[in-house]
Amino acid sequence: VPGHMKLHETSVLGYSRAAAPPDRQGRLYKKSERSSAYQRRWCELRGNLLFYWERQGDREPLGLILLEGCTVELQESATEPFTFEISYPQGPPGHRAYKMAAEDQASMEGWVRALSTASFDYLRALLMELEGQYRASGALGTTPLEERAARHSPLVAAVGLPDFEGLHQQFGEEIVKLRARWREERAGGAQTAQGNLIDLE
Amino acid sequence: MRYSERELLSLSRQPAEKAAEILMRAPKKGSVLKKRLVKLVVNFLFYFRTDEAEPIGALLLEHCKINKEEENVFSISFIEEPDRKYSFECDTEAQCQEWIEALRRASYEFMRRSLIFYRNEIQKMTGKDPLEQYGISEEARFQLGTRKL
Repeated sequence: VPGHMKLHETSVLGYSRAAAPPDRQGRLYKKSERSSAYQRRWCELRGNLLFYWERQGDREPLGLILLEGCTVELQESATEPFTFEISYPQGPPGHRAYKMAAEDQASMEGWVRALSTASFDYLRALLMELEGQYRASGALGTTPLEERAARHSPLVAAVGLPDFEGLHQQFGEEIVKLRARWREERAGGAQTAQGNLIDLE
Repeated sequence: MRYSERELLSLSRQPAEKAAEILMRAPKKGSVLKKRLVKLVVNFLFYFRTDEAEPIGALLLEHCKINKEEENVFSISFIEEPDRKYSFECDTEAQCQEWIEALRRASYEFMRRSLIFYRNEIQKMTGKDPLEQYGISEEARFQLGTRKL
């Protein structure tokens, strides 16, 4: 029996009212757990959450369905056309599934496609895949420093970081050369008082 | 607003991106710092009493700001109520920075923007849409231009 975990509604309601358009919206019929009747709902998909209202334009959603760890399957049914089910195969036993019906074939297919690719886990896997492709295409290097720098600087994101190790090596070699030259000149008794210690030319 | 507590509980039991015992304070006036097990799973932050298996609360990490406060402390506030802050006091500044970084990247919206960025860049570099092979090129959620980057 679940305890009384508090889902802070401010966090959720704010998201449900975001100015950006939802990922998908439309009318769906949701089968009631109690009465088994299908009830018309206005649905909006945002991220990994499916919000539903009684009517489009109502302020507060009636509820939300978490789309994480779920499967979305078409239901073949002569009596209940255009239906699909959101279920949680890894969930605890007795976990409810959500039976939904769309208004036509196209709407059903669109919703099933959108809902089955809505999870955070799916997006994360996709993102990792694309990140890999991006690097493989010869873009930014993979050092954490570059990653972090790129996040803060659009310039770095655009052109990358200089090769600090290489530069350090290069400067080191030049300093050794200059120092050797300076010692030579001193040993030879040359007047260096007027000149710069470091030849900046 | 109805939601399935079972679904959330199930989520809270999944492997966490990050978890630690942190002192936490709710935005309510007169609230005190309490030690909680704080667990980040996808875009939810669950928090537990340290000796309990079920979370006492969950925050959805969307439309929120993660703010650096004083030393070792960060806060989470939601755009609709910027003055109500959930405060977290870490053991060290390093831990604090790690959490800030992790939480900022924990939103669906952040990941979506990153994905759209990479999709666009890969398309520019290779001439091919990397999402085509997954059959999701037309999904509204992955389109450039429908949301601010």
